[in-house]
Amino acid sequence: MSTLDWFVLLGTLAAIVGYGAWRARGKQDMAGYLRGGNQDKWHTIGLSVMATQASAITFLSTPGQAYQDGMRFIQFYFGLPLAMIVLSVVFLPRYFQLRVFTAYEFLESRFDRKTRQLTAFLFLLQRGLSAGITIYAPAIILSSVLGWSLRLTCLCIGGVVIAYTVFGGAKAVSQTQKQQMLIMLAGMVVAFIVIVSHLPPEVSFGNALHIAGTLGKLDALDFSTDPSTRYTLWSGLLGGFFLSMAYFGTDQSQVQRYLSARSVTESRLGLLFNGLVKIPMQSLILFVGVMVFVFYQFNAPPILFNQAELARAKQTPFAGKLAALEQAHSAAFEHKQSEIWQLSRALDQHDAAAIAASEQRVRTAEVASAAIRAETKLAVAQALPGANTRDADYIFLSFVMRNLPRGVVGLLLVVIFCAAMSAVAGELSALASTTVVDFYRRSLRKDASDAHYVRAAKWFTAGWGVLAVLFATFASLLDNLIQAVNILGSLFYGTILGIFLVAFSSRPIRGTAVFIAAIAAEAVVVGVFLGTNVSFLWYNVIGCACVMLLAEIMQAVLPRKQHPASTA
Amino acid sequence: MPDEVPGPAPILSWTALYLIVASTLVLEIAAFAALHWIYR
Repeated sequence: MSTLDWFVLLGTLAAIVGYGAWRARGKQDMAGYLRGGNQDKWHTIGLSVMATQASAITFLSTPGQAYQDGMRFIQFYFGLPLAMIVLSVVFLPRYFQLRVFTAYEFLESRFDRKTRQLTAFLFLLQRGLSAGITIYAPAIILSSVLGWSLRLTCLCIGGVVIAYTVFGGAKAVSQTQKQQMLIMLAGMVVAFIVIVSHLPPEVSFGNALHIAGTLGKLDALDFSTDPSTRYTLWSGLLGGFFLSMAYFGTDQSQVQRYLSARSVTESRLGLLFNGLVKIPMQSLILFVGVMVFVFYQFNAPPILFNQAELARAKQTPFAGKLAALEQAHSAAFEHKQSEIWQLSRALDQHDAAAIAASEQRVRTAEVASAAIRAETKLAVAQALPGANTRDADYIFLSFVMRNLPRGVVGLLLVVIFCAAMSAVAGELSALASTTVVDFYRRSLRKDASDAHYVRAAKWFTAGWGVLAVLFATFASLLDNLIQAVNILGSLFYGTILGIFLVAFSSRPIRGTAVFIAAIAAEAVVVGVFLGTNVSFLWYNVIGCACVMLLAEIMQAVLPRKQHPASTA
Repeated sequence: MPDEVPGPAPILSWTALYLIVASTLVLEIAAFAALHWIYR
């Protein structure tokens, strides 16, 4: 990395963190520390909601996903705008009416303490573990591509975030997230422009799109009704709707963002802003990946983007086989490149017959090239048992480091660090507020002073932060646990959403009925996960529907004396 | 009601804003469908 890149990276990060700390200076009470003093306007809410969701993996993995699998991942976000509308109409007014610090406080006002604390516990479990992954996942890629120490990278990301989150609370988080999100958006626009400008001058943007489309990278919509297909129009609209409802409506890391708005109006506008901007932003990130793919149709790509693993594999007896595969890959690339040039020329001449014939040859050449890459991955896996050969996460950063000019490399590293920090900051702040409000203040120290709870929240923020960094530092030893954590989130969201939807409904259902229904629904979701290959997006629908249905049944069968007829 | 914290009223009605968000989604899906079919 050049001096200019270091200057851009360190200068921008220091400026953002400094600005956030400066905005959050001064003594804060509990409302100030946990809800940012209710001063945020809609644009701060909208950008901080987006920044909380956008982790570093969004920027590292999404372009790689488009490179390998095309634009179909965009369907995952189709339910989000609709969820923003429902949350604005149903959830927000109640949260603001009750002046809650956490979403789970609302559940006690509607049901009882056990339902509130069960839901808060599920959040702490899921979010507490995933905070470590939010640090670890980008750190492993950054350290591998840049040659940095993994532990030092984890400590740098975690240390800075812990410092400003403990110091400034929710206000520092929102203010830094706003700047971070603007940098992320600007960074991706710059990346897109620079990548397109790196295509050969003879290839128009239209031809670039045609080449991507020929190789299936622009197939954004899948109308399949097979529930095991992960991303389809239907799973995106329905499963994505329920997932977004659960994530934005009941996950404290998001709820805390919009509870810091100065009014319910600003909060609603912030969520609607998210609903309008999210799909274009994700499309841009996916498009960057598609353009990187087109770039590598004219420039030789590495046979494996995870170069560190490839280098390690070359130290084994498989070196000869890998060298032969690299040679075959190089020859396949030369052949495919000449076919791509022919297609581009046929497109310029508007020769329909030549275009059709050329498209077919390009597709055949791509299949041959992909087969060699697959064989290489297999050889690396055999050479290094347990090695990570899934290199999609490495494509974008590897491309940036090899091909982009000085300064732009620094800017894109800023984007990745900003994304990591904004997501972790939101999580730590939410974990601390839930621990203090739903457990510490509710069950352990009921009548302490405001200043005491602020101090406790700072200690809990630091504690969760240290846990996340420790988890990230040792995560490489716990590969199976990481997988479990990733699955954990989607297993719980449907149930949690179901509890909230029963709470928001006008049905006369009491705490015990919904508590039992939630536990039974969770068992159903775990059963579906273990016993079928249904895509994870559908777990949200199944969990939610089960809670709502079972709560009705439990309410009808439970003895009346346990639940007086009046509703809360 | 405590939720009546002073805040600027949006220029458009809430219903209009919700319709804009929903119809933008429809347009986006249509744009992806067009991209899908034009460049396949």
